Amino acid sequence: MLSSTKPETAEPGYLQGDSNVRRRQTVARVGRGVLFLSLVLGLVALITLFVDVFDKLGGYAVYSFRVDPLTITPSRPLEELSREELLALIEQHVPEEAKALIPEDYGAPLEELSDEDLVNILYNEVPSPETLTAKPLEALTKEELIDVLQRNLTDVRFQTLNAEQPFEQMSREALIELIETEVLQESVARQWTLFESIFNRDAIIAEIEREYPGSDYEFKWWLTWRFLTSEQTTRPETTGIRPALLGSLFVVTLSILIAVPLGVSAGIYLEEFAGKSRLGAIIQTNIYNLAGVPSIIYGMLGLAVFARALRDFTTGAAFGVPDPPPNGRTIITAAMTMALLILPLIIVNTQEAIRAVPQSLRDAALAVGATKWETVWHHVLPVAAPGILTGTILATARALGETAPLIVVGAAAFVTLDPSGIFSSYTVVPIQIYTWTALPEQIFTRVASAAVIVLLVTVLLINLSAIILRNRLRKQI
Amino acid sequence: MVSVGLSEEQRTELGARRTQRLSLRRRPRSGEAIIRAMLLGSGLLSIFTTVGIVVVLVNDALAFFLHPGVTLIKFFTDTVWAPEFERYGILPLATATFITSLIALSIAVPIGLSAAIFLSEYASPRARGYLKPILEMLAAIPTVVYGYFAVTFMTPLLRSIFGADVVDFYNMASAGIVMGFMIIPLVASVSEDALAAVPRALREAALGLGATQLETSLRVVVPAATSGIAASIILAISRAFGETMIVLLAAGAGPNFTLNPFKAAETITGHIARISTGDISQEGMDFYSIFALGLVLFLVTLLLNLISRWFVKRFREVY
Repeated sequence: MLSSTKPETAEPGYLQGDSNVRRRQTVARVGRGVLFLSLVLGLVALITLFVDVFDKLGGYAVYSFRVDPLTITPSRPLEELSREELLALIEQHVPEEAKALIPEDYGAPLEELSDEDLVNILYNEVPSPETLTAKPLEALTKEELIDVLQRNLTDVRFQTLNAEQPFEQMSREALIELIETEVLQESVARQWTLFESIFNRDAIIAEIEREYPGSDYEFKWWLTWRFLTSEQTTRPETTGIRPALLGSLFVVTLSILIAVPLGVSAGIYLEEFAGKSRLGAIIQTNIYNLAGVPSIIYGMLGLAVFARALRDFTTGAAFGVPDPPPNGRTIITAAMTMALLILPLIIVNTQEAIRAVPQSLRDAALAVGATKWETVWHHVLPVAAPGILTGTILATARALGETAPLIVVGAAAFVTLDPSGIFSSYTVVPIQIYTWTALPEQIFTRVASAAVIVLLVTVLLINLSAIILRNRLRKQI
Repeated sequence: MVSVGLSEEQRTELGARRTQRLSLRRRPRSGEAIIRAMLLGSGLLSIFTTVGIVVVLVNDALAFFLHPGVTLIKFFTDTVWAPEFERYGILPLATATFITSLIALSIAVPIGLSAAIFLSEYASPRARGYLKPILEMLAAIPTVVYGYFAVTFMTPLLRSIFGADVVDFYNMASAGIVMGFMIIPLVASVSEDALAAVPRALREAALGLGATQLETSLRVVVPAATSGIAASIILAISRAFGETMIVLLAAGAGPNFTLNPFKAAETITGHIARISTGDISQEGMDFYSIFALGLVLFLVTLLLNLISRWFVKRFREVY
């Protein structure tokens, strides 16, 4: 660009009389700094966004069990214990203050009480006396572990798990892990953020040992292969995103298949056939206006037309599909709504691509006797194709990230089954992010961060490929 | 006449073909006509979409306004939106939309515009080559991700700065600020286009007269690009009014007539989205009322977009 006015060390004579210049130059320098700072500020705001998402993605997590492990392991009833064992238990588990009051409460010092009284003391003074004699999981044999599973799981679940991998062939450690997730419902009691975990590692571990003695802890990442491939559950530790990924794939693919032929045709009409006609001008203005309509309005259009008025068709009821989802909440409804939303984008990009095709190509084709359509089909479209593809890629990214219209046309928040066809109910990745973020339990925002990364990486990669493709095209033309 | 090996019929046929080849009459091409009609049909689909939007919104909004007890005047002046008490006043929702948008614009316009001026007037072509695509990528971040950012970062930040008793967990400030971040790329990119369209001669004239680079930018280039910049700001307003996911996640789930940005209040879009999230029955006042809100939103954004396009056309005509 034009070089800015640089301050001269020795000012020329004609400037010295003008005291204004120095001030103006200072202002110019400061102004330049402020402008640059704004750009940096904008970028910083957006870098913060990425950092925040990564910060939630992993970190030290300490686990607790919903179910006390000692309540599920085999134990001996207190009544069967010997006097020595009872005294030892009282010594170990009854708090000192309670021990001091024993002679007063039971009428005699500890040593003189009957076995029955000793059992009563344990029942009265210890929070869960039946677990006192329970063995820890780690001390059990393989057979005992399998027995624990059998007693605490429903028969169906037990059989399913056994069919997946026979218990007899599993190691003791694997069995304990299975009991921890299936029976004890191990859950994250607290998790630190990624940066805390990296920079404050020792303090966190000290705190865990102080506040949660004996608990398991580990460095936990939320974005795992298991998360990508399992279905949704209600627990953050076990939930997954597979139905949402497939739902997004179905909806986006279908909407592109609907919108691209229509959008490209409309673009061709406007550029090659409409000329300066009044109708063409009306359609053109209309497309620009449609591009500015808030996406939620498209959702309302889809709700009223596809989900309500055409319900019999969009649920497949008219074609004899059994068990249609309620209120027309199907993949085809979502795809048609999304197709209308990305249509203006595809039309405008097609038009730009066609406009960039040199007029000489058309003239040459027409001059040797090609018809209008032959010219367009054989000469204009092949040259415009990469540009149209760029527009399509951008539209794909847009469709992938749109959330509001799908909320309105009724993407279900909790879907455990994979979509099976165009008439099945569905959820998509952005809807999952919304649902998990909106839940009151803080830990679900960690789950959401994993889904955010999946969505962001996909959308940005798609966009990047479109930008690279377009820059290459510009160099060619 | 000497026959050169052609029969009488062959000769007539040849003659007929020659006349045909020489005919310059326009022949009907039914295939072309059909294709043309199909292309026109695709173009008309966009008109049908607009008509569809208007019909759908007006149709259900009418069902809402014809309900006894609902009048246009009450709709626009009542300060309470409480369907359970048959109070349908758009004001609490509208003020929330207005406040979040105002916060967003007061962040996006200065930053976006300054960034655009820097990009167009100061940055080297090489730097611009990198920064413009980055801006475009940022504009492509799904809005639900911004919503997530508002809830997990901006709200806790505001609460730690101003105190948790001042700032509600759901609040308009957090949603507005993050919405501002979202709109920065839009303002920057549209304004940059407008600034880049200003002829180089204007800059050279100003610099030649001894103006500094800043004076040239602010007093010559920016005024020359006013209509384009105005278009970008109006587009930003329209975008802020229509934004849904950020306000749905961060601004609160309940109409609240307040001007305090640290309080929770639901916007028009947020209300539409929340009402339609649940298992809404597809008739009844709850359902019809969101269409009345949708109609207002549609008309306002349409008006803004028309004004913005008018500005864009004007600056295109000047140069």
